[in-house]
Amino acid sequence: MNCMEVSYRFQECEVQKVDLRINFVTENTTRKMNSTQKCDFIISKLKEEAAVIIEGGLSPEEEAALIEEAMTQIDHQEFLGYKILNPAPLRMREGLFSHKNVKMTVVAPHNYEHLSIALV
Amino acid sequence: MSILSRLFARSRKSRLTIGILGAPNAGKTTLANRISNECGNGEPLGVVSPVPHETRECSALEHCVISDQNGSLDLTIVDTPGIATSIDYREFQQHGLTRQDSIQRAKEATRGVIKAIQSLDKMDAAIVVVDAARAPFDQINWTVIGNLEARRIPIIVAANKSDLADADPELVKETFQSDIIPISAKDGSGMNELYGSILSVSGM
Repeated sequence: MNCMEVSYRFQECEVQKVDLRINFVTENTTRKMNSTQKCDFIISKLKEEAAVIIEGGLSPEEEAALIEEAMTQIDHQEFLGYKILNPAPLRMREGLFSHKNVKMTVVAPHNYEHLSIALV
Repeated sequence: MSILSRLFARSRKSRLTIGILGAPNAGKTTLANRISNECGNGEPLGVVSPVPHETRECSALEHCVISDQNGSLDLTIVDTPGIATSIDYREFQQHGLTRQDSIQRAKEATRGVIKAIQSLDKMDAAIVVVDAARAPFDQINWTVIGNLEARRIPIIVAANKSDLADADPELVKETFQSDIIPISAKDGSGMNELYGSILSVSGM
């Protein structure tokens, strides 16, 4: 699986420190996945308490499919769902003089209360 | 009546199934009940509660009739469960439910969310209800709007709870980059504008 996992620690609010594991999934990887495979991959990472950043983002239909799949897998003990965020597209350098706007979707375990503060 | 109005009146649908969608506690059932009271048989579509996920089944009311100078529109109103990406039973416990009742409610809520998602395919048009007093607005609204747009289903964004002091309908408009109708399903303000929008989308 062509994805990069990074771990870092950040100061959240005033006193609480939270370990945040992030899986960055490149567009090359997601291009090879169908909607079901993407949902399965994301949910497997969420169950490992890791967030997933998907380069290229999820389509609205994929977001709906992810909701449906997550709802069937919520066990009311360990896995309670997720939080999702679609930040404004990032302007990334493509060549020496050119840039492109890259959409990202961030999916994190439901208990990541400060997702927007941490990642935007 | 102008030629254009007559053409528009002729092309307009006479029946429309319109879904009421959005995040939990946005006021969807309050709106559905108000429409039923003002244009239907007055029977409430569901119970309104401060506890999230009170509506866990889709419910429909047929033959709500609204009209303007171009004629009448026979509406089927579909009230849907709130769409969410997570269901935490402990949230229900905070509203006084027992652990057992909370888990049972959470199980029903997950099934309700799936039903709400699946209902998207059965609608001619949709009212996306946004709680105008709860910024930042739930990400789920973009998911719902994106899915409706992908299915080419006409959308009306209703900025509900506009009667509250914290409400900011302009922020709803700015955030969703869309025409919005400020309403209060509770006190009925903005409902005539909402009916006007429904009549407009029926001509699309």
